[in-house]
Amino acid sequence: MPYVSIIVLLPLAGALAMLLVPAARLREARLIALVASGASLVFSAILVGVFERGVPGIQYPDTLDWAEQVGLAWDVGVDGISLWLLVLTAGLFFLAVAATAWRTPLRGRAFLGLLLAAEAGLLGLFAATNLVLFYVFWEAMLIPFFFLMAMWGGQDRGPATVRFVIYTMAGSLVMLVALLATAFVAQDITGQFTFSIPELRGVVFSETESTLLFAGFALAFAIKLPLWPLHGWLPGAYRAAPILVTGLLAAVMSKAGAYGFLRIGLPLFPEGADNFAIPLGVLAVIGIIYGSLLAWRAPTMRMLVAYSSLAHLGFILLGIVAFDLLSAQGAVLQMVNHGIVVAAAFAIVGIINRGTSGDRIDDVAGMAAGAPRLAWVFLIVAMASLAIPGSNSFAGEFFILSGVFRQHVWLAVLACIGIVYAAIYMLRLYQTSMAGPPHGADTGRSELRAPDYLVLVPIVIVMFFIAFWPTGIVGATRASVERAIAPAQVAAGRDADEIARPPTPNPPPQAVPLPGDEPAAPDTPQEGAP
Amino acid sequence: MSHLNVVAALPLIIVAAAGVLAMGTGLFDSQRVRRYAPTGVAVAGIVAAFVAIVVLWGDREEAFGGSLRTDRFSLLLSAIFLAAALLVIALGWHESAAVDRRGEFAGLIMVAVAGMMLVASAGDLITLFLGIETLSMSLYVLCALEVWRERSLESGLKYLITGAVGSAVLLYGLALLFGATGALDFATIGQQLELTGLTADPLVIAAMALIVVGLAFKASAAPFHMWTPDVYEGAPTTVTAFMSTATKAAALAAFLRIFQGVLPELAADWQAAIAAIAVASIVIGNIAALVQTNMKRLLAYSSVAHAGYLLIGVAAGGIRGAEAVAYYLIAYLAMTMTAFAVVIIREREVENGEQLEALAGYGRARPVLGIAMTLAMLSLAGFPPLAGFVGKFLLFGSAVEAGMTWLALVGAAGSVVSLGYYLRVLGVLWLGGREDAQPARMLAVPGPVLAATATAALSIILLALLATPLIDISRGAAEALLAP
Amino acid sequence: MSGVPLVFYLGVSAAMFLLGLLGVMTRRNPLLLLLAVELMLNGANIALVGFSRHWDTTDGQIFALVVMVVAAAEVVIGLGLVVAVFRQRLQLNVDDLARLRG
Repeated sequence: MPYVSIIVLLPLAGALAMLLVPAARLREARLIALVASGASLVFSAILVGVFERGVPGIQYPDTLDWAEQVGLAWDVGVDGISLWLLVLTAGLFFLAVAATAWRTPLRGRAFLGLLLAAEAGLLGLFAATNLVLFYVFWEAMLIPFFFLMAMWGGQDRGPATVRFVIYTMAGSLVMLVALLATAFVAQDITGQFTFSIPELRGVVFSETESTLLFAGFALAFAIKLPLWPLHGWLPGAYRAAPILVTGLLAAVMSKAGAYGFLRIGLPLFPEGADNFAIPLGVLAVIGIIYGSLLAWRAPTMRMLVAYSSLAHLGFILLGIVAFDLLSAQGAVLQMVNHGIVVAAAFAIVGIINRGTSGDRIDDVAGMAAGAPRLAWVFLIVAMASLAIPGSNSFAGEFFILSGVFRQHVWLAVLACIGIVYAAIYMLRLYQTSMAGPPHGADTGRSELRAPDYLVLVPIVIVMFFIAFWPTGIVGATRASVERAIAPAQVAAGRDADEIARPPTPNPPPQAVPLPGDEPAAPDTPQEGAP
Repeated sequence: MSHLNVVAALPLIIVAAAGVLAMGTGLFDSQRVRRYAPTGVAVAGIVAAFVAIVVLWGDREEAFGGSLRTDRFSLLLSAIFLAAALLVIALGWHESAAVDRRGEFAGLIMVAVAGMMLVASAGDLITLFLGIETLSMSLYVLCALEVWRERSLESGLKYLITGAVGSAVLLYGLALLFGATGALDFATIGQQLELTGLTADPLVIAAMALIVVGLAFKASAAPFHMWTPDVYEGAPTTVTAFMSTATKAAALAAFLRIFQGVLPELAADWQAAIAAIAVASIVIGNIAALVQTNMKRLLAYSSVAHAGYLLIGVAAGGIRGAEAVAYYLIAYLAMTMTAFAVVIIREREVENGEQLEALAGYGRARPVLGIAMTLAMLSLAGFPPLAGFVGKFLLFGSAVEAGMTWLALVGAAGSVVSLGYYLRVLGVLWLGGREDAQPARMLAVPGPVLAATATAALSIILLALLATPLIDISRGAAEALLAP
Repeated sequence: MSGVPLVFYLGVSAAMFLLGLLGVMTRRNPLLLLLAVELMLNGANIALVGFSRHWDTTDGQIFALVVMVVAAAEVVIGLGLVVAVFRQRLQLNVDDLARLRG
C-alpha cells in the first residue's frame, strides 16, 4: 500500500477540494480540512505500526515518473528519521487544523486550504527521496506560508513576509544549482544521470566538488534552520505571523533544515560535511548562546519562545555535525521533542494573550491565581523546554551532549551554557507571568477551556510518553541514523568501531571504468588532505 | 534544384492568407461583417494552421528551394506563435483598438505570425531577414493602432526607429556573414565555416557581433532593451502581450537558428558574448523592475530579465540548451499571457487600470483572476511545481552541463531579486486596499477573455505536470535544429 | 576579376552605415532619424552588392533588392506614423515625445 504517497497527497487533495467549496459553506470547509489532515495522521500512525525497525534504507518507496528525460520523478519513501518527522508534522497540523476549525478566522476557507497545502508541502519534503522532489516541496511550501503570514499576519507583515521569502529563496536557488551540479558531476563519475538520493549515495566526489556542493546545500538548510548569522528573517516573520502559523514555523518548518543535513548533506557529501563540521558546530554553539541571550532579553512572550527555539535548533545541528551515533539519534529525538514543546509553548502564549492587551512579558503577572489549570500546563511545558531531568527534552539533549562530548569536548562545554540560560529565561517567563500578585491579565479569558484541552492534552500526553520511553523513538532511528552518518564518519577518519554501517562506494570499485577514465582514478590521493 | 514543395509551407501560407483576408473583411460596409468576420477568419486560419502543423510533424522538409525549412523546430515554434495569436485575439475581444479596427488588429497579428514563422523556419539569410522585418513592421503598426491616443503613436514611432536600427545592424551582420562565406543558405554557410575553419576571421567575428546585437534588440535583451518599457507601456495592452511573448519567441528562434543551427563551430566565440548579454539582461531587467509601479512597465522589465534566462539556454548550447529554450518559451507564453490578461481585464474597468495600485485587493474581490495572477507571478519567479520552475530547471541544468555553472548561479540570483517585485504584485493583489472595501468598479468579463485567461492560467500548471510529452517535443525540436 | 576592389565597396558601405548610426544617435527629428536608418540599410546593401561581386554570384544582389523593398515599406510606415503624430501635435521633436518616461 502506498502509505507515504497517501500521507502526502491527502492534505493536498483537501487543499484542492477547498477550491470547490463555496466560500460561504464554512462547515464543509472545516469538515474537509479535519478529514484530510486527520486521515493523514491516521495513515502516519499506521505507518509507525508497519514500519520495520532495524532496516536502514528507505521503506515503502513509491515511484512515478514525472519528466523522466530530465530526471524528475515522484520518489517518496520513509526511513527511521523521516518517519518521526512525518508523524510530528501530521500530528501538529491536525491539531492546528482542529484549533482553526474551532475558532476560524476571517476567510476561513482559504486559511484552512493554505494550512493543508503547507502540511502537504512539509510532509512531501520529509518523504521525498529525490533531490528535485525535495526541492519542489522545499519551495512549494513557502507559498502557503507566505499567504498565511501575509493575509492573516499582524503588524509589519508585508516587509516581514517578503524578507522571509527572499531569504529562503536565496538559499534554495543556490541549492537548485547545487543539485543540478550534483547530478551532472555524479553522471561523470557513475555514468548514470539521476536525482534519486539513494542512488547518489556513495558517489565518490573529489574533495573540492564535495565541499562546493555541500556548501550549496548547506546554505539553504542553514537559512531555513535558521543558523546564526542567517536568522535575519526570523524575528520579523515570527512576530508578524498569526501565532498558530508561528507555532508551525517553529515546530515543523525549522526541522526541514536540520533534516536536510541528515538526509542530503552528510550522506551525499561526506568530505564536504567533514570540512564544514567544525565551522557549523561553532555557528551552532554561537546560535545556542545568542538565541538564549536574546530569549532572556526578549520583550514579548512570543519572541522569547521564538529565540529559545533558535537555541534549541543550534543543539540539534550540533548533534548532527558531531557525526556521532548517539548525538545524531539525540538530534532526531530532539527534533520531535522541540516540535512538540515549542508548539505547546506557542499555544500557551496564544492562550495567555487572549486575556491580555499586549504580548509584553512585563505587563502580565500573577496569572496562576486566576488560571490555575493554565499555570499547571505551562509549568509542564516550561520544564520540558528547559530540559529538566525526567522531561522529554532531557533525553534528547542528554544524548546530543554526551555524543558531542565524545567528539568535541569544548563545543559541548560551550553548549552547556545554553542549558543554563534556558533555565534562566524560561523560569523568568514563568515567574513573571504566573507568580506574584495578579496584574494586567483577564485570567478568566486566559484560563483553559475545552478547545484548549483539545490541543494541549494530546501534546502533554506525548511529552510524558517520550519522557518515560525515549527508546520508543530512538530505537527506530538507529539503523537509519547509522547509515546516514556513516559516510561522514569515514570522511572524518573516525575509529572503525564507531562506524556501524560503512558505506559502499558508488560505482563499486570493480565496476568497468567509464570510457575516458584513467584506470587509477580511485587511488588518486586527495589533494590537501593531511 | 529542389522544387517548390508548397505543402511544406502550408502553415505559413494559411496564416498569411488568413491575415490578408482578415484585413480585407475589415473593410466591408456591413457592420456585422466588420465586427465578426476578421476575428472569425483569423481564428479559422489559426485552427487550420494548427492542423497543418500536426499533419506535417515529422522529418525535415524543404520548400522554395531550401529557403524554408519545415522541421520539428519550426513547427513547434509556429505552434507557439499561433497559440499566442489565438490568446491575444481572444483577449482583444473588447479592447478599444481591437473593436474599432478589428480588421487591422486581427489581420496584422496574423501577418506578424507569418513573419515569425518565416523566422523560425528560415533556411537562408534572406528568409530570416524578411521574416524579422515582416513581424517588426506589423508590430510597428499594431503598437500605433490606437491612433487617437498619442502614447500609442509615440510607442509605435519609438519602436519603429529602434526596431529599424536593430534591423539595420542585423542586416549588416548578415551581409558580413555572406561576405565571409559567399553563400546565403544556412547549409552552405555551415559547411564553409566548417571546411575553412574561419573561426579567427575578423569578418566572421564582426558578423557574429552585429548579429548578436541586432537580435538582442529584437529580443529586448539588455543593454539593447531601452525601448522595451516605453513601447510596452504605450502600446495597446493586447499588443504588448503579443510582443512580449510571440516576438520574444521569434527572436529566440532566430538566435537558435543562427548560432546553434549554423555556427556551432564557432561556439567558443559567441558563447561568451551571449552569456554576457544574458547576465546583463538578468541583472538590469530584475533590478529595474523592482521600482516600477506600472504593471506594463513591470512586466516589460520582467520580460527583459526573461530574455536573459532564455539566452542562458542559447549560450549553453547543445541539445539540452535548445530543448530548454523551447520548453521555456512555451511556459513563458502561458505565464506572461496570464499576467497580461489580468491587466487587460482591469484596464477596461478603471481609468488607471495598468497601474499596480489598480489591482489593490483585486484578488479578494475576484478570486479566480487573483489565483490566475498568483499562478503567473509565482511561475515567473520560478516556484515549483509550476511551469516556470520546470523551465528554469531545464535552463539552469543546460548551463551546468555546459560547464557554465556560474551562469546558472547568476540566473538563480536574478530569480531571488525578481521575487521582490513578483511578491509585491501578489501583496497588492491580495492585501492591498482596505479590508472591507471593494476595488473600484468591476465589469463582467466577456466570455472569450475569461476563457483565454483561464486557459493560460491552467496551462501554467498543466505544462509542469505534463512535462514529459512536452519535453519530448522540445527535444525533438532541438534535435531537428541541430541536425546538419 | 577586374574593376573596383572589394575593399572600396566595404569602405563606402561601412562609412554609410556608421554615418547612419551616428545620425540615429544624434538627430532628434523623426524624419531625419528615418533618413539615418535608411542610410544604415543602404550601407548594408552596398556591402551585399560588393560581396556579391567578390564571390561572383547574384545572391547578394537579390538580397539587396529584397532589402530595398523592405526599406521602402519601413519608410512608408514611418512616414505614416509621423503624419499621424503630426496631426495630433504640430511639433516634431523626439525630445518632446516624452509622455512616456524612458
